[in-house]
Amino acid sequence: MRNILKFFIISLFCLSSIYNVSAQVSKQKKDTVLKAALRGLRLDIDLVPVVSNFIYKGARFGYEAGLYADLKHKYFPAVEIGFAGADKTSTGGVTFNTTGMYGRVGVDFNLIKQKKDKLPSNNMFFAGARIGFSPYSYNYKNIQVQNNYWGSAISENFENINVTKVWFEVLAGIRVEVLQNIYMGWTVRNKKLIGQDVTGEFQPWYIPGFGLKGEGNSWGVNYIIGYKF
Amino acid sequence: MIIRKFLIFPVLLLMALFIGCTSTDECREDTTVNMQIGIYTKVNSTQTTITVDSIWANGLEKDSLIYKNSKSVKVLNLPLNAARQQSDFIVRFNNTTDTISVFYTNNNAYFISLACGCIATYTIDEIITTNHYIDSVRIVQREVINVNAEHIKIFHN
Repeated sequence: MRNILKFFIISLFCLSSIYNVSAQVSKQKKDTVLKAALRGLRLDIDLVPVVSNFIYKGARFGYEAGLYADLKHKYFPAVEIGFAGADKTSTGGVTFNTTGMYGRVGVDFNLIKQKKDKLPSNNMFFAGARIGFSPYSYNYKNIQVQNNYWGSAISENFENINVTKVWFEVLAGIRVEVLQNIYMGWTVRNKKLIGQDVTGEFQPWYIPGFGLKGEGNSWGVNYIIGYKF
Repeated sequence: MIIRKFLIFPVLLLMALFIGCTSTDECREDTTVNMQIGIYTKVNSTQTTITVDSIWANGLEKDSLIYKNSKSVKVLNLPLNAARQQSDFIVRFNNTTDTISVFYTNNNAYFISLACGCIATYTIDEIITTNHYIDSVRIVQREVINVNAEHIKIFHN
């Protein structure tokens, strides 16, 4: 199974290098494109879950897509929506599970300067920022409270704990037009949760769209295939 | 275009991400919760700690001992009963025996982490003792959690 995935990824790369982008846009069309402020919408689908859902064996899963507006090929207001979840049992027998939707809004900035005497390149290297949020609920089951000296452990369930988590992201990535209007690329994100934990309160092990809620920041990667309308 | 070459870069990153995943399976926090009692003497309102030569201690109606002829004891760490709101201890200081009764409210849902689960924490309401070795008691810290701190002072005259 791992080999098949490897083959899949490698073949995608080959595809991207074999086909050259032939920007066969006439001079006239180019001029009109350059004048318009909104130069299209791009829809990105995240391909990472194809690999990661398999690797995590159901302990974690997620799906994500994003919509980006192209403003003068410089600014890209972004809306990303996803669905993710986790189901994890610790070695001590405590089970955590959740599923939930999440969203992010923000903007990307294209860092490649367009040369005026050349045809504009649709490829981009960008940096951006997002505000992410996920209103969701989670369960902790079979939590053992030790009562070693006096008796046996007390087992309890805490279900449907509702929270809304908000986080901030900085990100960078590339988008390459591999075929006309078809894009591939990746995004690396560093996420920081907003808000302070109260000690002793139930904290989620996993947050949809954010990832594992460890100490401090979380990293995320998207590998996307996109289509520009 | 040079930028095309960068399409391959995240595969390395992804691999590092999946291989380098740190395990969150093991509990690394201290989950023991004990009520700590310091033993003091009071002479003209100056408190000094006492070292007791020999201590025996057990819970009321419990056969297993918490302290079994322990030597040179300055503090007692006693586990409270998470299933009740009262714990009684029989403590023998050298050759004198006292009973210590602790009344408290308990919270069994003090969350640590997925790996560690919850611990029981307590708020001490009242403490009553017999007065053979113990002269008087004072509560110095009512909140009992998984932090090493003195909660009770007992005074021997």
